[in-house]
Amino acid sequence: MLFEACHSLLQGFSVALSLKNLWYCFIGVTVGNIVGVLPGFGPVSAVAILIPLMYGVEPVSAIILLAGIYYGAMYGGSITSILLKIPGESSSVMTAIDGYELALKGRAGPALGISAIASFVAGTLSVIFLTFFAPLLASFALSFGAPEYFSLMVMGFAAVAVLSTGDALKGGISAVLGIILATVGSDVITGIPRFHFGSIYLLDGIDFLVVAIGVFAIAEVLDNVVTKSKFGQRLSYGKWTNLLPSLNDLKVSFWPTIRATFIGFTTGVLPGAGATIASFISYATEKRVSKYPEKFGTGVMEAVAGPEAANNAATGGAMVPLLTLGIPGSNVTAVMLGALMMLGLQPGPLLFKEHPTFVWGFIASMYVGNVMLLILNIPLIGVFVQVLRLSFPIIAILVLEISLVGVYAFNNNIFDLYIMFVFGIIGFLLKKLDFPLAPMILALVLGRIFEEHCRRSLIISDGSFTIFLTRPISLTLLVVAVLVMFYPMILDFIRQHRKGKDK
Amino acid sequence: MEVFLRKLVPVAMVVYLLGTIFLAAGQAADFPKRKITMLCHSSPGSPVDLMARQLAEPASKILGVPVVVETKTGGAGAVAMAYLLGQEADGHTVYAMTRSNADLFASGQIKDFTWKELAYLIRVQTDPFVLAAHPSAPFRTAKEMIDYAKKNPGKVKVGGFGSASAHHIMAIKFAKKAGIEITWVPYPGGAAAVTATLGGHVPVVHTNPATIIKHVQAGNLIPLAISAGNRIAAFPETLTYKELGVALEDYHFRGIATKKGVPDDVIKILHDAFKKAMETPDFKEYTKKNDLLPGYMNHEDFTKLFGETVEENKKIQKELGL
Repeated sequence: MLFEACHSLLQGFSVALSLKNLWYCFIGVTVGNIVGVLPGFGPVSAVAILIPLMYGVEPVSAIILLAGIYYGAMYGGSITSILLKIPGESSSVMTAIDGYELALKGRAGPALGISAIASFVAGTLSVIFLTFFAPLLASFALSFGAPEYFSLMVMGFAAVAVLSTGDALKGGISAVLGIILATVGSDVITGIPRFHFGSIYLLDGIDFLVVAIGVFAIAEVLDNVVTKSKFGQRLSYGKWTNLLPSLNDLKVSFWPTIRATFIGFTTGVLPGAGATIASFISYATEKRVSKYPEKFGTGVMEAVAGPEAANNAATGGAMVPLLTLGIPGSNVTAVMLGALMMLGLQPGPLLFKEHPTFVWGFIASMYVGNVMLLILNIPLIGVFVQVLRLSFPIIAILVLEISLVGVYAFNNNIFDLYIMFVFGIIGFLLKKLDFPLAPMILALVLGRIFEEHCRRSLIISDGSFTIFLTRPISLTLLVVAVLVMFYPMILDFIRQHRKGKDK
Repeated sequence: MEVFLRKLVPVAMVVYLLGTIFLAAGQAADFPKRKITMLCHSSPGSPVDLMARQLAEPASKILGVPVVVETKTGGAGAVAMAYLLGQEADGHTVYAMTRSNADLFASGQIKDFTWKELAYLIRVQTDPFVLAAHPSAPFRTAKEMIDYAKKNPGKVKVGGFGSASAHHIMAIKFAKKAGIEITWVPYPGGAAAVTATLGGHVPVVHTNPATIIKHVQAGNLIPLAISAGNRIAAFPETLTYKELGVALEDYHFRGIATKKGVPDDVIKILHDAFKKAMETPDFKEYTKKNDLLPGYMNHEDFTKLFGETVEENKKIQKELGL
């Protein structure tokens, strides 16, 4: 089987390395990188816009381009997150936390470098997994029903608990605020709108990326206006080598990248879980295993490497259900599926058999694309960090402008801008009162899915809660969640117990 | 000379104004003047988005101006419709809609406008509903499912898109006419529901054929019954509801609407252009490939059908207690 995969992959490379497909791949990753930089205007919209231009293009070339946009965006998403604290994509929200702190310390260059390298390593590893294990993983993707997703979300909430820094009570309040926000909008189970105050614009709920841009980027600008700017202090780079990650940066980022690759790939395989949740779990994991968890949030390299690796690995994972089952695992792959159907190719369980050149050409192109992205991104670091040389008034306008355009482009809706500004002010106030903001955003993402899957599970089980405990995967996830939550306490208990014995 | 010029200015202005009025009157039928925006509330790649894009391409050529698909998500179409109603009633903004819009109006969630404020230009396609089961389900045919459900009321779980949605309401209608009781498991989209049934988590899914064809071919799903009047090419052995003895024939539908108040001659131009676009070989090919049914219906009939669907849905939603 391994041999078979290698053989097919080689054939795939002969497709991917044709001049035409190299060109499509290059366009794809470049466009992806650019749309990744712009918040709101993400890979979904970019892929959708390019669909009409794909008429008459060979399906394999089309998917090479469209997929290039997808994983290219994951590289680009970190740039504004690190430099301006504007999450370029929903999956870059975690990167903004420590990445921006690193930039404030004058380490924007290394942070961008680590983010590109971690993305490359994780992206490439995930394509290797895809190459060799895709058919095996198809059944794994299907093994997750509503109860399993519920338990996965419980694990996500455990991660939220880990993420809260400082005052546990304030972290809890922040998380509850997020859960309350998550209840706004039409309830998927009954279809009844909740807390929308008669506004059709709230029927779909409050989008968390809009909230994230508000509480991160807008609040940061407000904060800088009030407290006299921190900008301007982080401009002394000295030698150009300071722009690149140091050996130590690479060393501390190694294991986080590897762990995040596994987390990202597995989460990516599950339809509906996706890159965003992968980046959360990775951040929480790194904080848990770190020797200095208290430093997370103040600018540590691991907290950039982990989430960035995770979101890239998730794109490789998301291709598993798409190629083996014809099931879209994320919004972007759903659009890609639509594009393929338009080109007369219906991905399904028989795709590997019916169209091997298509599948393998496409997989091979992902190796090529990741190399292109690395080559593209490293030299650009020097260009991007120049942004930080600008004086605060200009930076503030830049941040506002990128946020405004990005959030509007998200749904072509002015209403989202109001939400962004309201949360900018809320975020600013909460920050002044020392509330951690990450728990609120995470709870907002998880809350809705959590509730939906919980209620769906109960419909399936005719109201019995045992459904969460009788299914092996669900039970395992719940046990892990409990361990994640109480790990420090358990550790303390064991230590004390041992001490007691020694006496 | 100066005086003459000063007198000339108002005269010139009057002439200019009169001229524009006459020209404008002469151009009333001169539609379209600029690009036409086709709104779509569903995410790119979804069935209605695909229809919009397939239609926009030939329509651009027929109308001689670009027809551009613009995604405006939110509120299951409420946001797109509100936007449409905020535009001039000149026919330059149209909206790719589906039967789900009738569900939305029936639900009473929209307070600011009613279904009567839109003009339903043309019905483009219909799409039957299909019930399909996971191979591990305790039944292999629709007959067996009905028997099983009669012995175990409420035990048959059926997954599908939304709550009080077209898919939900049709499933309930089927169950009622078949004299059985089912439990509906709502999902945020058709693809998510199909995935759940593929994994065996929900034994039956109620969806549209295109979403399951490949899975049926691979032997991972068994089509049980179809809501169309005749059997469809994709599943030649699958019985229709009528053949099962369930007196029900119904379809999901997709079409194009615009704002009410658009002049009749403009409506005719748009209707004719889309009708012509539907007759192009490319569009026919797409219809065939995705196992859709051609569902042309003119402006008057489509408006009537839409109104009836809204009223019927209201009744069923009341019965369901939604």
